[in-house]
Amino acid sequence: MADIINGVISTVTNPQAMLMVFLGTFMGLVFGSLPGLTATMAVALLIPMTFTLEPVIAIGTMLGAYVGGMAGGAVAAILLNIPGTPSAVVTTIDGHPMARAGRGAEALGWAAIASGFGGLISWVFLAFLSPVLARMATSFSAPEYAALAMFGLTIISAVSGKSVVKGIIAGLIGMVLSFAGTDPIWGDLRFTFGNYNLLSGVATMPALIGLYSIPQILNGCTNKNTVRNVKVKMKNFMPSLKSLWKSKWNIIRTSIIGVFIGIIPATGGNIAAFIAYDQAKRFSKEPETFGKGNPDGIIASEAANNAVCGGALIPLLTLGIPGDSVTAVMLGGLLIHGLTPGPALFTEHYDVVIGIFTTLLIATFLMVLIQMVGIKFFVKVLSVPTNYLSAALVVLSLVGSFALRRNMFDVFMTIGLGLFGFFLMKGGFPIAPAVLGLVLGRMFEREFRTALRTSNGNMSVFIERPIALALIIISVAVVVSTAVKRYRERAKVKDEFVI
Amino acid sequence: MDKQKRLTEIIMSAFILAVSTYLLQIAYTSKIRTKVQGMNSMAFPKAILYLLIALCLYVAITGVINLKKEKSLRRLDKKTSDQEKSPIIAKEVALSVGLIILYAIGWQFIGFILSSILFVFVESRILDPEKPWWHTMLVAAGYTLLVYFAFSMGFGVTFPEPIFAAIGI
Repeated sequence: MADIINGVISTVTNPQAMLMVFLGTFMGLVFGSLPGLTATMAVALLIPMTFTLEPVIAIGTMLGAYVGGMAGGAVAAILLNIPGTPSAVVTTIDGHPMARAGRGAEALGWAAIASGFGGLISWVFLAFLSPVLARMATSFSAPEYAALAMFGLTIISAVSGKSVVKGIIAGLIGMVLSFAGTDPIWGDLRFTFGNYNLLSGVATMPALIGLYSIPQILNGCTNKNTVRNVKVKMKNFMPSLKSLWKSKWNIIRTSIIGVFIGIIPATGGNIAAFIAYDQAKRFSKEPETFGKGNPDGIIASEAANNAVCGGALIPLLTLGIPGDSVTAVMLGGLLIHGLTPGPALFTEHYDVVIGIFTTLLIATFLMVLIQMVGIKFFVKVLSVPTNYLSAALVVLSLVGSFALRRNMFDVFMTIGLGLFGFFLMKGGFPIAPAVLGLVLGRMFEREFRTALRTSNGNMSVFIERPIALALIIISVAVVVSTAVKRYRERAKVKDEFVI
Repeated sequence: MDKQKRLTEIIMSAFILAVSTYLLQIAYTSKIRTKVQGMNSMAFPKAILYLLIALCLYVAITGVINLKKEKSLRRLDKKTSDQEKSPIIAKEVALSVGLIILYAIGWQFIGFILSSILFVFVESRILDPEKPWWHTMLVAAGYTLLVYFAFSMGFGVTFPEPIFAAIGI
């Protein structure tokens, strides 16, 4: 504890360190708030730019971009209904309805504060419980991953809106998209149609941009009522202490979910946000208000996705295993600065570890502060006239798809999925489950089949392992409770033949 | 549900049904290893595709039933709202879709910079013809160059520029 306090003091009194962490956080916020750009890009961009800096300052800058990027996605999600980053998909569900109702500033405020608390709570876990939690992460194998993915897929019911059947269809479409490429177990080619661009499957980022950004941009072409020029007043931005206290359990619960999802390698902010949103809805006294502008939905999503930051650093620093795509890029940054993550990092470079803890804490505070002070800047950027904004977002979205693999195929896939997503939305099909299916479908199939292979086809492997069993029981409970709830709702509807 | 949304729901269900059936056919005819321990490569996709086909059939059939029911309810209520008369896809949206496709194709023939300037200019004029053309052109050019330099210098992204490459720039 004393080391951490000393670390904080020395960083705060180091002007270069503070400046770089501030710049990194600001850059992360800008990248996160612009659709087509991501936190991963921001961190990747910073690696060569911070090469000449001291390791702690360099990594602190990257951490600032990470934290800022995860939080920045909420801005476009709330104002434009286009998630700035994949982890902000769930924020659109309640954030944009709040903005349409003239409560955009309140929504942005909740997103900033929830992100701050999520980051802070995950920092506590990182700073004090890293080795213990890392041991838990190593106990995860195929059955646990499969059960986690299955649990994540049951969240489809929470993000389906009125029609669960259409939500399931959208989820299955996402899963079908995830099948394209090379079979994860046998290496057979599936649904590649002879196109080498599909050998590694449908890339997540272009698919997400296509499914989310393009339909919203096309909708915005005719929607004269799209929220623009949200008048942000500071007094509307900051939630009151009373409402903050009322939401304390939601913040704590969803932050812890984010930490634990972040600890599990190869997951990420979007999975955490979906699971946290579902839990917030289940624990809410007014679950029917979710999806219509309930701040608790924003709190759940943003607290969870920022809590992933600290959680994902735990396996990275203790075991050298990145918790998500951003920490995977950050691993490269660490190696470039001569730091090999793993148990030895804590013994041989303890000062660097303390520096990482310190800069993450500072970046979290700066992230909230920058949003409080600079939110008008972000709102202004996104408040340009619709005709210019629509065109600009199309360019940025297609460039964002292209930049990943420098491949025109991704651009055309974005457009194709965008048109498909547009007509899906027109037909009342939700898009969020498709994203969930795409992200989790691959993981579920791979881990499920791996678990069966290693157990020689014996399904009891999922029951014999306590974590997997617990997740399966929770998944079944979620499905049953959702079915019972929907049945009761339909029993009240007399005439309409509801799907 | 309004008529346009219901029709789109039926059309999309039918479309997904058709595509799923096609993919299922591919799944059955693909050359994959079948004598394997555990599930073969297409087992999962087949299961998901069957489920998707079943659900899309359900949505399409109930959509048609609801459409007929809603049609007879609309006949009783003689008022026809403007929304009922509006097309499934608005003119601006259809134009934008065509423009986006042309824009992406344009990258490979005239390059990123020229196609982006043209796209932003034309798209902005379609959505708001009131703005002065020179203002729109300035915004289009400025924004395109900003994105170009940010990505090419910042991320090292090489955009396709066949015309500039041919000239020697």
